[in-house]
Order: sequence, then structure tokens, then C-alpha cells
Amino acid sequence: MSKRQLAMVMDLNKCIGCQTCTSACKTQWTNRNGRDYMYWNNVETHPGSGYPRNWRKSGGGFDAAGKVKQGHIPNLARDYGVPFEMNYTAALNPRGEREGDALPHLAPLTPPTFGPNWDEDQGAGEYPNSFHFYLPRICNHCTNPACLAACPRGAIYKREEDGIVLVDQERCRGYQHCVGACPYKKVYFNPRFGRSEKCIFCFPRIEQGLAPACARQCAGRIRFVSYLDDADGPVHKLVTKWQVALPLHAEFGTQPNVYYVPPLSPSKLDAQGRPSGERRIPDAELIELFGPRVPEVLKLLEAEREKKKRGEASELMDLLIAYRHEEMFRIGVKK
Amino acid sequence: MRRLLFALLLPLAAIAADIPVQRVDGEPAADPMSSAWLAQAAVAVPLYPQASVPPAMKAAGKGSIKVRAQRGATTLALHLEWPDRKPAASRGVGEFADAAAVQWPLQPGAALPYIGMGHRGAPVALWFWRADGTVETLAAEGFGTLTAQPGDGVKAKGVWKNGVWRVALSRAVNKPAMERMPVAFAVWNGEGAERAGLKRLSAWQTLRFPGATAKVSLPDTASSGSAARGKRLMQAKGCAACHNYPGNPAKPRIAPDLSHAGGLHAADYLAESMREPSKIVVPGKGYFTEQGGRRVSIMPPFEGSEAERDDLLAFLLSLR
Amino acid sequence: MVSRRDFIKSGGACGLMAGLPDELLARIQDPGDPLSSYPYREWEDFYRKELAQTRGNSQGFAFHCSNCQGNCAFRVYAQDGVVTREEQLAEYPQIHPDIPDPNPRGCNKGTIHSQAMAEKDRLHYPLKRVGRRGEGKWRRVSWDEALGDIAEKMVDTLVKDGPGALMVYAGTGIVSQGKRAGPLRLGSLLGAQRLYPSSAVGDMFTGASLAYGIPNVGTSLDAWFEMDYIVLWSFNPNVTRIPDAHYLWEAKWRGAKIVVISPDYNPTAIHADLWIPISPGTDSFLALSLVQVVLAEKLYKEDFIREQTDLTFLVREDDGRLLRLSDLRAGGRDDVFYCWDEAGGKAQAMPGTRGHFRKTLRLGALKPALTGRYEVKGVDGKPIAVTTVFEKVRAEAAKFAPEATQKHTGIHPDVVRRLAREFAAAHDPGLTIGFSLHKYAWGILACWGQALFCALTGHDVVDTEHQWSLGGIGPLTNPKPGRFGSGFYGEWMGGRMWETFRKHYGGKNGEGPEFARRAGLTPEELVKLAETAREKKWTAYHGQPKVRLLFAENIFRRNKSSAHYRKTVLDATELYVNVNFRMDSSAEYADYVLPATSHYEAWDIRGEVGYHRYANLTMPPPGLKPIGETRSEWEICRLLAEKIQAVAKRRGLGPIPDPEFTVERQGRKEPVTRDLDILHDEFTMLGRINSDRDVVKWLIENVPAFQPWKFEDVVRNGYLTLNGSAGLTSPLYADKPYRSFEEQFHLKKPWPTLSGRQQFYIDQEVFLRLKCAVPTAREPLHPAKFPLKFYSPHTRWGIHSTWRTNKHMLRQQRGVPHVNLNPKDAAARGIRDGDTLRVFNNVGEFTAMAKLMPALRPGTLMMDHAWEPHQFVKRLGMDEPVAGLLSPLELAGGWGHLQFGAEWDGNQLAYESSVDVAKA
Repeated sequence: MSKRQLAMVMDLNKCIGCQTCTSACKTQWTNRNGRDYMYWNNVETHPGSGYPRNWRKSGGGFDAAGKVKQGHIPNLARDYGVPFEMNYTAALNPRGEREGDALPHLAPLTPPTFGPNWDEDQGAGEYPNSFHFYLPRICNHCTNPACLAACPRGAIYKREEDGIVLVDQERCRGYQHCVGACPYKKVYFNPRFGRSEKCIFCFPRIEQGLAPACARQCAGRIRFVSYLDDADGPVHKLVTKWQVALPLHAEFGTQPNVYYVPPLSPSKLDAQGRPSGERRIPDAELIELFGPRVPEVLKLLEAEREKKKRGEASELMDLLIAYRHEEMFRIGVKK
Repeated sequence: MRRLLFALLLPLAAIAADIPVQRVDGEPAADPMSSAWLAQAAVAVPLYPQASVPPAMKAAGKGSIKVRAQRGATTLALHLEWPDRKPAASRGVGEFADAAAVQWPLQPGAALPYIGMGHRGAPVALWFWRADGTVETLAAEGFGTLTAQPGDGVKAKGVWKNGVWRVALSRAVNKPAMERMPVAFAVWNGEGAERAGLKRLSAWQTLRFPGATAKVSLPDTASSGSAARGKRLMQAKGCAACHNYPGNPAKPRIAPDLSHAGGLHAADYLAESMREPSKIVVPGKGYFTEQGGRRVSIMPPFEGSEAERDDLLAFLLSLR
Repeated sequence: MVSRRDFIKSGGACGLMAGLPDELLARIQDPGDPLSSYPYREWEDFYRKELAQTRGNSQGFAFHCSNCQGNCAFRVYAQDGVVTREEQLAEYPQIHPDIPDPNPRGCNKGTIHSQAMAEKDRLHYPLKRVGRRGEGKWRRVSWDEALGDIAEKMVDTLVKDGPGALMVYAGTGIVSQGKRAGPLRLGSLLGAQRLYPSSAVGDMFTGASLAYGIPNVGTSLDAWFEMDYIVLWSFNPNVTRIPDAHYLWEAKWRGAKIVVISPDYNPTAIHADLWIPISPGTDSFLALSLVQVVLAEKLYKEDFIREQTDLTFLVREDDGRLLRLSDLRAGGRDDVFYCWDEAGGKAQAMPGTRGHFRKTLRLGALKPALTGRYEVKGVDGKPIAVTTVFEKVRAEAAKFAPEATQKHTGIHPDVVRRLAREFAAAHDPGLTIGFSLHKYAWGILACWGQALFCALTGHDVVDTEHQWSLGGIGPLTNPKPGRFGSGFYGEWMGGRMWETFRKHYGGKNGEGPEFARRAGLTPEELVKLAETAREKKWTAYHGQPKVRLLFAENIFRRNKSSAHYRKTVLDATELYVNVNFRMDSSAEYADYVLPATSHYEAWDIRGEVGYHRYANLTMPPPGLKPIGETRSEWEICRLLAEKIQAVAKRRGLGPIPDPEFTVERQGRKEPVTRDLDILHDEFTMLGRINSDRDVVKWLIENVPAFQPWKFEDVVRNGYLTLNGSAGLTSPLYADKPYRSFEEQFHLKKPWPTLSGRQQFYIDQEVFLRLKCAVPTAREPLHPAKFPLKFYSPHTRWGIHSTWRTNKHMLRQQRGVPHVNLNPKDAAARGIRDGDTLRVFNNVGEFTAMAKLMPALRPGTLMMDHAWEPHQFVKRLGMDEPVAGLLSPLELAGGWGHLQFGAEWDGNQLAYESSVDVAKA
């Protein structure tokens, strides 16, 4: 067991689906070296197929007996989506080098059939009561990682000092058992290097006192990063003290260390178009993701919001507001 | 003190074949399609699905590989041939390439390394070929410890034609005094997503070099006990609670699968495993506990009569 | 790496056989249980080295100078002169402990620009067209050759046809003070024409101009955090205000109620407390209903409206004109207006109007009546029946009770009443509208109605898009008077847009009864009104230019009825030069394409956007290697000026009089001259400003709102904080969010309107003719002959067309243009998600992928805007079926504060066309 655990909380009530985190991660790590197809960080519209496609039904995790389950390895074209190779030169001829006749229109060389945000904003339900929200996902740096359990070589480990789960890039032999076993499908096979890679929680940045790129660059200010046991850190306060941040699919059995503040949603409209007062995201939809405590968490959020509105103090609301960006991250703290 | 190992190491597995090494002028052909290879008689070696350690093969399919060996002026070469309906030559996301490996014991000792890539204190070396062009020398001392070694001149070339892979592997050797050498084989079928422990492997075989003094008689392939009684004892002695084997309806996965125990293991290894389970510990998760840095098998030493042991042994040796 | 157990082999025959010496065997790794500890961690340097690589060995600063109002400070990293990555600076200070700081700002697009700047669509060299326009055949030429040719043609044209035959136009792809300075200065010195970009793209808040005299009003966006009731109307900040949207959701946690009004359940609505779906283009009805509820339920604040609005002004009952001094006294001014003073029982001139000597809103002893009918004695002695604007407003609003407007808006009356009551009762509510609203014909009325609603409830103003007043830039960008033309009107004329307008709205025989009923005039009358607007100089149009020098101006992407527009414009253009950093849909039709530096490669500064109080700097990382032969806009203009000067000297040209403009010299009016023979000397201020860096330095030294920052400090900091003078109508306090019009609300200074107050009565002839003298409502103009209302709001994947074709952004979408429609509309046509569709009407058509979205209102077709035409099959873009259309009210002018200029110009309308779709 690692001695400490660095963890993240994402407030889904503040996520605007802008994918700045995705861009930040891409330029930090995955725009090169065979990682181009990967999104260590993605933001998916929920309900939806997610990324990779139907990951929630892809298997993996642990069974009731604690045995790791082999899940499916997603298919590159069907489930991840192939990175677009654009015909910039042929269609635009920007250096004046082209010879020949008609310009084709600018498009990916292979007609796209899927991508990491393919069903953006589609959601479910019927107008005017459709519903959706954004679910950003990174590796959960689980306390009991299925990828680690599934690696026959023991090439995946949890760092003792911060609980970050890493795939040893020297020992990995690219067997991809981890890819199938991760129930969140957050390990990716690198076809160029022939080994698996995943979100590294930006550990080289952490070591320099910098928050992970996805968190520091999050324009919606939804991500908090600190050690779970750091009582002064926002993560501890939201997860342990206020208990409003919940793990995603805890039933997978991996004990994930990324937590989510579940989203409130606008009122439903009745047949005449009047607000019914009922939240339009069905509780069941959220419970399926975040477990049975969702209704009480939403109630607590509303109650604290009311307090704040009345001018009373609310540590919880102040935390979620995050008055100072830099205070969302406590990563250099010794216990 | 340097000894020739083969004398100590034999008998090998229950069904160990004797693979003669043919002396050639010059060096063995690098091309596996060369008539110099194909004209030579091959020895068929049975392959069994790896089921001792997860991730284990689900398919119960056995296989077979044809082996030829040649010794040139400076190199030793092996020629492997096995059927594969479709070649898988590249690796990608969820895509795996066909591969084969030759395994050698490394550590002189009283017993051969565990067939599954050796065990602690008994390392093995491997020549590894994969259809994506990878050729490596690896070493291991038990499942999960496979470690790439710096290139040592191992060469390999594989050709797939008409449903058959043929691979020639070779390396310079400088030990002309050898007479016999244990060797084992493994094959991975890429389009079946076989990689790592998902493979078919052979028991330890014998490579007989030119000029070996005598043909050593192969060991007994049967115990003096009764396999039928042994099968009943598997239940009575509690083996069935942890080990899977044909006829065990519980299909437990607590300990290594014994479905092909007789095909992969020698009688003395099986006997030793019963007598002293912690001597060679199969490195599967949950198969052992760590005690003072030492791995202690969760299996209790066999308690029973010699006759019972022989019956069990007879049963296990029948599993091929 | 050593095995943890570090065992030593004793050596043996087999080892030698396998060729592995003992020391190698020692490398066998046995990780044990990696959940408890792991022995082989040296490899971790692998990722540490990658991080070091992305952080490079030199750093600069940047923001992204596209037409994005976000304006976010970034740090730019370069390794050995090549940009590797960017990251938000995130170092803005918190202005007050009770208000969240603005960090980190930034968005998906800015965060990917390090990739886009090196993409294969990047221009590297000057290109000269060798095929037909748009054919894509080019010859690489030197800067010298390109600029030499261009200079010759420009001099020819100026001498032969006058300066107005030239257009030098800095488009919306560059909007920062640094990058714009070059083309603005060059155009100004030459007397070339340019269009007003905000109008050309349809970003004028004309409704706000009617009410407040200026279009861009409201707050800095951190003010959201202080509000307790926030209405976001036709506004989708989760997509379009990515860096600032957090203030909304932080306000929500602070207790604010958030209401979103939009046709679709948009990405902002998902976090609101209430989403009010509205039928597209019917916003004026909702606005008037809110007004009606406030009036009927007497929720209005009388003192506030007496002082701050023109609702007490008297209106003649006979001709519907405001009562003026000229009505009462021969030779009297027509900009002095009257109220009925209840204290004195007679009409009294209201202070604070344009013509009144008292420049204050203070009423003193006056008690202006809100209601009633009165009589005053006219200049001829005859009585004039008058009433108040308030009465007029109330009478008009009475037509629009929530029950009456439901059939237009689709909104239940209970919802409207509740919204009106809650807003009126809120302590500090805000109503923010987006750029979408004025892309409907009656956005102007909707916004004016919203302004009235805010005024009646005593709550501030409609928040449009507040901008700072930087000042001091004129000597750099406008050294001589230039030809500034109306944007929407210039494009209408240049593209002969009336032709597609007639086709779409006019019907077979040129009549348009449907249009006439809704608009209050026939299509032909609208075309004629456009002519009138030009003749009467209500707007400014300088004719079709013969030479177009466009900087980052994607005209062929954004203009409506695209192919028609493009042909018309190209046919009239003898020389078309496009300066750009990438080959966009407009550059590809040019005669010359000149490669410009992109956001990280030249010095720049931007500070006018009022969302936050920081002016951001671009400083290229030291040692940055240029991409190809790219040059900054300033440098390009300077080199062109040099060439023009050389040509002029060679031809012996002296000062060329431009009699359209005069200057005073020694008490005499003389024509402005265009001095081509000294153009370069003028351009560089006699060699003082030669580079983009010089421009930035000049701006920091000369813009009052930038003081007291020193160039060296900004270079260290990456941004500067604007001082208090940046506020136009209020001071910018160091520790408070900005809110406009404090000078009016608190110091009682008059508003920049004719009435000196918030204006809700306009008796300009067009307004009177269309019965729009007070805020009212009109039906949208979508022709019924096509069933789907087509609208195209801002995408989150580009700033207009910038980054629209970037592969990283495309991967977050469908990769190809897609249209969104409700599953019911799709099912009725047998359309499934992912199908290829033909979108068509009688103006044009295009092909796109279908995306089915239950969030979309049935009967509408929505498409994220700004796909480049060259991303579509046959290069027929999404604006092909969008007909030309102008709002008749926006053609009005020559009245009070409705005078053409930066504060009053119209919009190219985008959302009033109807289409149908079918599987292709």
C-alpha cells in the first residue's frame, strides 16, 4: 500500500465541457510518440456512449471474490476513433507546391466514424426535457488498480509516496492485459513503443510543485488536487469531511481516487411548459455512476447553497467556489 | 567444478523427446525455407496450453511443434515449424503477433527450472522471435520476471506459407564439449490474442549433440500406481479443492491447473511438489505467501502412504 | 538496473550455452508485489525528460489575437527556437478576497495553438496566383516581387480612381491593438476604405444603442459573482465565454439563481436552475411580455425611471413625435424635450437633453408626470395634445400580455410572470445577452425591450459586451481621416445581397405578403429603404473597391449566400491581396497571399475587451525561429509603404489632394492630402516605429489606461492591469468588478443619447413608419415555405474560422461539418445519426453529417458556425442557403444618437432563413 494518496475531486456542477483539460493533456503528453490516438484525459457527455465507446460495459475490474476480470480491449477505429489525418496539403496547397487539377475539400483522409467526443451534447430524453452533463475522466489511480492486478509482469505499480499508478515503460512488454482489465478503459496500448501507457497524474509536474496540466489549466475551475490524508487540503474536505465527492463506479472494485461532486440540474418542464421543480437528470442515472449516496449529497449541496444565499457561512460552498485558484491544489504538502 | 549437466538433469519430462542436432558444414541456413532444413527429419513435440498461472489459456487445445536442430562451425540453430491458419505479423491496439520462444535452463543444479519460465534460483534464458520482426534474448526466473537482455547475437527469421510458420533461430556457441542440453518451446497465436502466459508450451526436451556418447533411455512415463485410484484420491486428499483437472466439477482456480500436468512435468517434479510444495513455488498470485523473504506455498505437504502417492502420481502423469 | 534480490550466479555451462554472462543474469527483475513497493523506478525519468522538453529552454508570453473576447495570458515554451507548448499564465491577482480570482482563464483552442501554428495549412511564403481565382495554383514569389507588384497597382488605382477605390481592411482574425495598428495606420494614411467589422459580422448590439447611446455596455464578467439573479438570454457562455463562465457557477454556489433563455437546451442551460425554451427569433415578444407584467403589476421603480429614462417625455398625439422646443417656439431647438411637471402643472424642459443647457439628470424641483394626457400651446398658438412616453409604452406593452405572446414564444404565461416578478424583486439581478440575439431581424427590438424591462425594475442595464475605453491610440492608427464604412451595409452592397434576399423572402412575383405582414414593409420597400439610407447618409458606403488588401479577414467564409457573394465581390475586384497565417477560405481566392506571423511569433498587446481588467502581452520566446518567410502585420505594412513610396517617387508624385476630407491650416480649410512619396516616413513616424515590438512599446507608453506601467515591467509580467481610466462610463475601481453607467446612476451625468436618458422613444422616420417608436415585438421572418428555421451559433471548437480546421479540434467533433436536428424531425425524414444530409432552400444548399440531438427544438436546424467552406463537399459552405437580409430599423439614421459610427451601425442577419433537409 502506498503511504499517501494524491487524489482529485471534480465538481461536475462547474464543468462546462470546454475540453481545455483535454487540450492541455494532449499537448503535455499525447500529441506524439504513438500516443496520438489516446486521450489520457477526456470529457464525455453523459448519458452517452462515452470514450472509449461503451467503456462502462467493457468489463474489467474485480469480481465479488476479489479476482481481477479480463475485460475487452477496445478497438482502435470503432471504440477510440483513429486520429484524423487531414489532407491539408492537397486541399489547400498552402505552399504553392501542388500540381494537378481540382482541389479536394478539406477532410480527414478516412471518413470519421468515432471520436472521443462523438456524441457531445446529445444526451437523452425528449425536448424540452432532455438532459445531459459533462463527465471528465482521467486514470483513477486506484487504491486497488485492476490494471496492476492484471499485469502478469508486475510492471504496473503504485508509487509509495503519492499513490500514483504508473506503467513501467522499461518493463512493460505490451501484453495489454491492463487495457482490458481497467474497467474505466484508461490504459492505452502504444503501438509505436509496443507498451501500454496511461495518465501519469503529471507526476513530473507534481514533483516540481505544479498541479497536473488538466487541473491547473481547467478553465471551469472544477478540479481540486491534494493528498487524501491532508486535512487542510480541499480533497480531504470534500471527500472525507463533507462527503460530497463520490467515486465513479465504485462497484468495479478498484477503489478509485478521483471523486466527483454530482451535478444538480434545471427543473423539468411539465406538459404545459411550467417548471415542475423536479431535477431533470433522473437520480437513477447519477446513482448508477456515483452510488446510492447521490440523493443525500444533492440535498446537502442545495441546503448549503441556501445557507450561503441567506448570507450564512458555508465552508462547503466556499470550497466549491474556490476563491483562489492556487488553493485548489495542495500538492507539496508533507503530512 | 564444471560438469556436463545432462547426466544430472535427466530424466526430463514424462514425454521428453530426443532431438538430434545435425552437424552441418559451414553454418546452418538462416532461411527457414531452405532445403537444408526441410530435408532434415523433424521431431514432433507436443504443446499444451499454459494453465498454471493466470492469465491462463481458456482453450483446452493442445498443439504440436516440429523441431529440427543443426550445429555449424560456430552456431547452433533450431528450426521450428507449426501450423497456423492465418499469420498475425503486427502488434497494435488489441492486436497481437504470432511468436515463438526457445527456453534454456541457466543455472546448474539438481533440478531443472520450473517449465513456466523457471523459478527462483533456477533461471532460464529464452530466444524469442515474434512475427513483427522482434528477436530478443530474455531471461527469467519465474513467471513475471521476464527481463530483456542486451543483444547477444541471436538471429531469427520466420516465414509463413500455406498455413505453416517456419522459424529458424540461431546463435554462436562456444561450448563444443556439450553433449546434451535441456530445451523447451512455446508458441503464441497472435490472432487468438495470445501473448504473455496465453501460450502453448512444451515440457523440457533434450537436445542431443553430435557425438553424444550414448542414447540415454527415456524415463518411465508411468507410475507404478493406479491412475483410477489416484483420481479418487484427488478428492479424498483435498487436492480437488484447489486444483482444476479433468473430472473436477468445481473447476477451482486457487492453485495451478493440472489439466496437462503429465504432459508438462516430469514425474520427479510432481513427486517433489507433493512432498515439498515450497521447494519450487509456482509464482501465481495467491499460490504462496511471503515469509521472511521466502515464498511458502499455500499447499500443505502431502500426507499419506507411499502407495497413495504413487496412485496420485499415476493419475497426474496421465493428464496430457 | 539490479535485481532486488541481487543474486549472484555461480556460472555454468548452460549459462554459457545461452550466451548470457553472469552479470547480465543479475538483471533479471522480480518486482514482487508492486502494490506495496516497486524497485525499478529509475525509468520514471522517461516522462520527466518529456516534461522538460515541453517546457523548453526559452519562454515568451502570448494571448490569442483572434476575434475572441477572452484575451487570456499564456506562457509560451520553446525548445531551441521551436514552440513546444503553451500554458495559461494563471497569475492574475485577486482583486478582492470576496471575489474569486480570474485564473487560469484560457480555453481548448488557445491551449492547442502550439500545434496549429505548425500545421500543414500554415502559409510560409508569399504566393502569386497563376491559375484562375480559387483554383489553387500558385507560384512562390519573393516579398520584394509581391509587394512591388501590389504597390504599383495600388498607386495606379489611387491616382486614377481616388483613395476610396482601395480597401485596406483589418478583419476579425486580428483584433488586438498591436496587430491591427499596421493595417489601420496604412489605410488611414492612404485614405483607403475599411468596413466596421462588428457590423459586418453582426455583432452590433443595436438595441442597446437605441436605449443607451452605445452598444457595448454592462459589467466585467466577475460582476456575475456578486449578482443574486442571473438571466442569460440568447447567450451560451459555457461555450462562448469559456474563461469567464466559472463566475456563473461560482455565483450559483454563492446562492444566485440562474435562468437561461434559448431555443435549445444549450451547454449553459445544463447548469441553470431554470431553462426557458423559446421559439427562435421571438425574443421581442418575451421582452415585451416582461415589460407588460412589470407595468400591469406595478413592479416598476418610479423614482428611477423619472430620473434615468425618457419615459416622462411628452409625445405629440397627432404625429407621434416627441414634443420639442421647436414645437413651442419659432426657431426653437429640436433637441430640447419636455415633461409635464406635476409640481407646476405645465410642460417643462427636461434637463440633460442634448440641447438643454443643464447637463445633468437631476430633476431639482421638477415632478415629471409618468402618466396622463395634456395640452400645450404650439408655436402657432394652437393647442397640441400630448401624452407621456410611459403612456405610449404601456399602451404598446398591453398588446403583449404573456397569454398573448405564448403562441409566438411557446412559453407558458406563468413562467413569464414568475421571471418578471423574481427579477424585479431581486437585490442585484443581471440580464446578459449574447451576440446571437441581434442575428435575428428583431434582435434590436428584443434588446430594446430588455433594456426597458431592466429600466422599469430599476435594475441597471442589459449586459451586452462591455468594452474598455483605452484612448490614446488615435495618433497611431488614425493619423489621417479615413474612409470608415458601415459593415453590414458594405457587405450588402458589395455582395449584391438584395438578390438572394428577394429570392428567399419575396416569393415568385417579387411580392412578399408574408414578409410584409411581419416586417411592416414589403421586400421591395426594404431594398428601397436601403437605397434611401445611403442617399440620406444614414449609413456610410464608399463603393466597391478595386483593390482589396485584407488582413485576417475571412469574408468568403462568413458572408451569407456565399457563392453569390464571392462571385460579386471578386468580379468587382481588380487586385485582391490576402494577408493571413493560414490558407483559409478567403485566402485561397486571392491574387496574392502574404504569410503573416501567428499569435506567438510577433509582439502584440490587447486590452480593450471589458470582460476582465488585464491587457495581455505577446512576446515571442527569445530565439524563436521564424516559420518560413512569415512577417508581422506591421512589418508587412511598413514594407508595402516603402514600396509605395518608391513607386511614387519614381513617378514623381507629390501630395494628392483628397477633397472629401479637410483639415484646418492657418485658419483655412484645406483638403487632406495623400502623400505617397513620403508614405514610409509617415508610416514609421519618421523611423520611430519600425517593428511590431516598437508598436507595443509605443502603446504601453501612450495609452492612458496602461499607465503607469513601463515596457520593461510588462515584459517581465506578461500582462498589465488597466488603471481606473479604462472605464468609459464608470471608474474602474481596483477592488471591484466594473459596472457601466455609474456616472449616470450616481453622478447623474446625462446618457449619450438624444434625450440624455435611457431612450425608449425614437421618432426617427423609419421607426415611426414601422410603428416602432417604442419597444414592441415582431414575428421572425423565416419564410414558411421551408420547414426548418436555420441558425448557427458560436462553436466551442473555433473562434469563428480560426482553429476550425485544426485536427485536434475536429477530433472533438465529428471531423466533418455536421448539422444538428431534433430526432423527431429526423425520423419524419428517415434520417439517422451519421447520415449525410443535403440542406437546401431556394438560395443555396450544402452537404453535412446529421447529428440527432434531443436538446434541439423541433422545427429548427442548428449548426455550429464558421465551418470553412472548403470543409464541405464541392466547397459549398453552410452559409450558401442563408439569404441576404437587413433589419429595416438598423438602416435608420441621421437622428439624435442614431448617427453612423462605432456606436450605431447595423448587423448582417444570419438566423432568419428557412431550409429543409433530406438524406443526400
